[in-house]
Amino acid sequence: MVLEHEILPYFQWLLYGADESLGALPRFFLIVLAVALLGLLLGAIVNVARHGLLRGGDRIYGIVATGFRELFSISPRRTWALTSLAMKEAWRRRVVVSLVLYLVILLFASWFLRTDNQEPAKLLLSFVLMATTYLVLGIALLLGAFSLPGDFKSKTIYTVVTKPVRAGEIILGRILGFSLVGTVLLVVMGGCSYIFVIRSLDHRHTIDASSLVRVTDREGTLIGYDGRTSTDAYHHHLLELDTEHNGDSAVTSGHYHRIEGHGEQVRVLEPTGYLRARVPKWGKLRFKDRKGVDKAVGISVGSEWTYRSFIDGGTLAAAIWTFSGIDESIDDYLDKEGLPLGLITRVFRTHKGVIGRPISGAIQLRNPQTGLKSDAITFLAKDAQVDDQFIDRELPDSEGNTIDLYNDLVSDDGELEIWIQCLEQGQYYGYAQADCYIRLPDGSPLWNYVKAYISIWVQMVIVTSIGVTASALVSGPVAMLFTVSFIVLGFFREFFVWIANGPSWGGGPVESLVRLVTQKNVISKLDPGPGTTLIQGIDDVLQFFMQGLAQLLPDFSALSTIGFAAHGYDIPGDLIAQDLTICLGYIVGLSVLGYFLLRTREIAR
Amino acid sequence: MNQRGSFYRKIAYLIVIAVLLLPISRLGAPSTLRDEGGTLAQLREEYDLGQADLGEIDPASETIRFATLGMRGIAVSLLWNKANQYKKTEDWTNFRATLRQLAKLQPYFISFWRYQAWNLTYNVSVELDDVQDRYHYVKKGIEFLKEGTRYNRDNPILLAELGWFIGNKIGRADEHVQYRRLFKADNEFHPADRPPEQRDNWLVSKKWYQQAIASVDDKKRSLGNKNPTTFYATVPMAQINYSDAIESEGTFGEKARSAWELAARLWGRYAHRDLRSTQGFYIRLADQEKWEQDLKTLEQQLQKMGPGIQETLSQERRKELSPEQLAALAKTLEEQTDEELELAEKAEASLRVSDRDIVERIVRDFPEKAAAARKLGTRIAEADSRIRMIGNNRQVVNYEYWKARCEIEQEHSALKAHELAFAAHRAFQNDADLIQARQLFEESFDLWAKVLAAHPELPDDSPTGSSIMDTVSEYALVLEQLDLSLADPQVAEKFPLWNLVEANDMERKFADAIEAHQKRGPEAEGRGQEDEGSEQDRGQHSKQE
Repeated sequence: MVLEHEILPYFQWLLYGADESLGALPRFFLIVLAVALLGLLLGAIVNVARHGLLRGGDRIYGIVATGFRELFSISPRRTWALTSLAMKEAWRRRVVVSLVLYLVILLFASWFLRTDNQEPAKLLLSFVLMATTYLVLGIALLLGAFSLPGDFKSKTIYTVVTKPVRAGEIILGRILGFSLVGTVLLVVMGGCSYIFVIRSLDHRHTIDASSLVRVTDREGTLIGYDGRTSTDAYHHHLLELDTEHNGDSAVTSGHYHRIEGHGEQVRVLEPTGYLRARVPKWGKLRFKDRKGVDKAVGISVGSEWTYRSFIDGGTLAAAIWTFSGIDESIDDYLDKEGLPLGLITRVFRTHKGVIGRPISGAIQLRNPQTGLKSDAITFLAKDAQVDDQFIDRELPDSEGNTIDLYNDLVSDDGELEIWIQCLEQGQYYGYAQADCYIRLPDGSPLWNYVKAYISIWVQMVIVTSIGVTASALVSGPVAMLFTVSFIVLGFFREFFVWIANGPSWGGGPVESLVRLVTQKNVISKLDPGPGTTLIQGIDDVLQFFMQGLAQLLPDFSALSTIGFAAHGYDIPGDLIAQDLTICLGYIVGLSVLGYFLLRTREIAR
Repeated sequence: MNQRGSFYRKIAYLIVIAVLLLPISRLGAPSTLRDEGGTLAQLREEYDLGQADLGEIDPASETIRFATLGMRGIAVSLLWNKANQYKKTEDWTNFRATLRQLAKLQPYFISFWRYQAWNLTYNVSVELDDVQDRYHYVKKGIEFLKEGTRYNRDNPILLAELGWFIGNKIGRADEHVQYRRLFKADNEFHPADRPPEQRDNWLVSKKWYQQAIASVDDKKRSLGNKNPTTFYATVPMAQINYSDAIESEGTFGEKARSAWELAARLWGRYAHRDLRSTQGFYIRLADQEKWEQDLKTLEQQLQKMGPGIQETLSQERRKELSPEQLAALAKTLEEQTDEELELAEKAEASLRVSDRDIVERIVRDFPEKAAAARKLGTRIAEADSRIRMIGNNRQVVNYEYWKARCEIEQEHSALKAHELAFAAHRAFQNDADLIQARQLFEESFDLWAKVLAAHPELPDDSPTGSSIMDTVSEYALVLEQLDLSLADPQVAEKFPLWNLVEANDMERKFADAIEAHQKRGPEAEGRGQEDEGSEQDRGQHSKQE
């Protein structure tokens, strides 16, 4: 599971933010203030130019004062009436066709999705969630962008505005109406896609009982059977069964089967473990280099992807996670006492070592307060897989004395350090912060699936809000283009922000264009001269505006939780709460903006 | 007037359209079961350009390409980009899924199949640490390429690539021991009717190479810019590699001998195959001796045509040399300074009389023989060119070595030497029986010494030498555990492979032993025995003859 950004607790995110950044709420207010001031300035310029200083000022005051009065006196009843109207309109525009399209996509998906890989559930989940996202965003875009312009064109807006409704209610009603329609679509899509995933993953194996090999002890007494299942769905499982032919198959392609013996008949039950919702408790990662000196990151092994950094084996280098909030209740869900760990290790070899033998490493637990350390627990790295480790509660320290994990190794404020070292010289282990966690009881895969759909729902509502707001001012096609730009930039927000902040190579938008046209590489500097100065001057101005725009762009890639569901991790409640709050922020902000934009239209005054 | 003009114009357009439809109908009429169709259909049939001729027609691929509505290029670019991104972020599941989507969009793009199959088999597999996982991706790359051969039927490049992947990746990777074992046990990969003894990666690769060759020979597919010399060598080389591999895994006796015998036969068949050379004419690797004989005969004929001309030309040129050059020539190599060496080289070059020089002199001095001399000159040049071309191509595939190797490996001594070395390895690694291991190693070396002495065409620094060197290294480990070393006189004097060790000790592991051996003098030690052995072997050889 790749987790590029740390997930902050909800209230920290809302009020304070991460290090050196603002909380979401203060940032929201700052953006609202900036947009309001900008709007006021623009409105003042236009009104003063058209009506003179005094009358223009008067109009501005009137609009703002009325606006505030109207916005604070929005009627839920009237809004609901407009919401119903929007829903009826959406229904009339045959949104249900999208469901047919979705079913067609699912029907033909198997042409492109073969489950002959090691993670079939990941592939199927990624596909259905991605397809749902794109389709629903497309529907939201069309509904939102063409709704008001269509009403203007067909003059049905006159019927609405002659009723006692306010412009704000029209905008909010549309957003809520289309969002509700989208919600219904999402529920149906979610149900269909879940059935599709479950059905696609379902398979059975058979076992030829006569092919099972008897396993006996030294005295020749039967102690079980070894064997393998038939090959179905591109894989088979190895078996170690008891004398009654009962047991679990080995895990292959992320699942296993329960095996039941009925006399000579052996039955393989349905696959288990394909869909999971592991609940990790993540810690903070730091490193020690080969001399034992603290470092924020480890060694780069030359990989282009810098998500993980590495520690070298046979030295003092270590990856250290500090976990907080550790107490005895962590193992309550297990039938044994200790610390359940999840560990993902990436192995990098600089020499072949012993082919076929994994690289060995050691885990140590340390009390950050007292410095007491457990003796090293050796393990063999399972490269790029989730390795479920279990640390017993009673374990020896480096001098061989028995110590208690919770009493001796957890500090008074509930902190515990986990040290991991690679033991073989010339070999490396690679880690990122999310690669080591404490395993809490698994969540419900179905609820996790629902949470992934909630994230899609959030994205849909944001796109609907942008579309409706834009369509209050401009025509349908322009509103659509505007919203599409928002979506595209939203999906590539990180790149956009990187350009806006002045990249270390390649230059800003105009410089990049010049380099493209002149086929110049991105590293060498442009020849100094007035042309270059002009290009960089324009870029500075553009980058200023881009930085401003970046504050308004929704980060769709961050809003997406497909990665969690596809990799079998529980989507954190904090993340869902953050997404819903962002969604609410966009609805409120865009409704207000939409209100003022609609007021600029003659019809809505 | 305007309306009428417009009407006439439309009528004219219709007439032009109708007239143009006639040639279009003639050119583009589709073929049917009874009719061979228009010109385009006939050309398509003649040059196998129809889509059905390319390979399997996949409805999914057709649909998706149609569904992109002319945006296929953009879709392909986005997917390639996406595939690169997945590879960068080590998301192999989605990487493979993207490749499948790309395969539907560009199924007839050969480079795509080659590049991405290589990516899976060679690049993705090594990213993983577990041998089973590595094998999984090696296999997925092979299966991907196989899918490519279904879309592009009888494409020799893809078929040969498939042979290469199955042969070389599984049989030559660092993990080849594990890969070969997994490959043999892979029920999902092999067709159900493939017998266990045929589940060897080299034998499977041979089958694909044979298909590739059949596509060129029988289906007349183009080899493109692939070198025919290496292309046609693939089948015998696969058999050679198979024979070598089974011996290294402990299969000896008749099975190994017959494997080498087949390899020798295939190598011989390959040597007699017509190969198109880079100069356009066809050559056979086996024909070098024949051409050399022809050249000799032709040169003799030339000499007869102008007797004494070569000596005359040589003397004339000698007279043209400067006194410094003559002085330099008169000195031995040790006596020459750098300057004199250069002068002597230039002088020798100018003294060399070529057949062409002789022909020109005959034409000048004996005009009545000019036509015959020129004809002879042309034939000599052709023979010379063929000899050089064959020689170059022989070098490309190491022809002489493999020819000799295939013959030698069938001999009882060589088979026994392998078997003894393997038994020694087992005694050392599995049973830790050092005495037995040492004895078996030494018996094996004695046999190798005889084999090598009987076959001077097998140089010491050949791949065989390097393979024996691995055995010598293991022997050194056994000695070490017995508190001995190859440098010890009592060991060294029995050791018969000093030349081979000297030629192959690239890592200088035996530098001390070699130095000690050289100080003692080769006659005092193994060399004597080696010579003795070789004498015995030659005796046996001549008796057999």
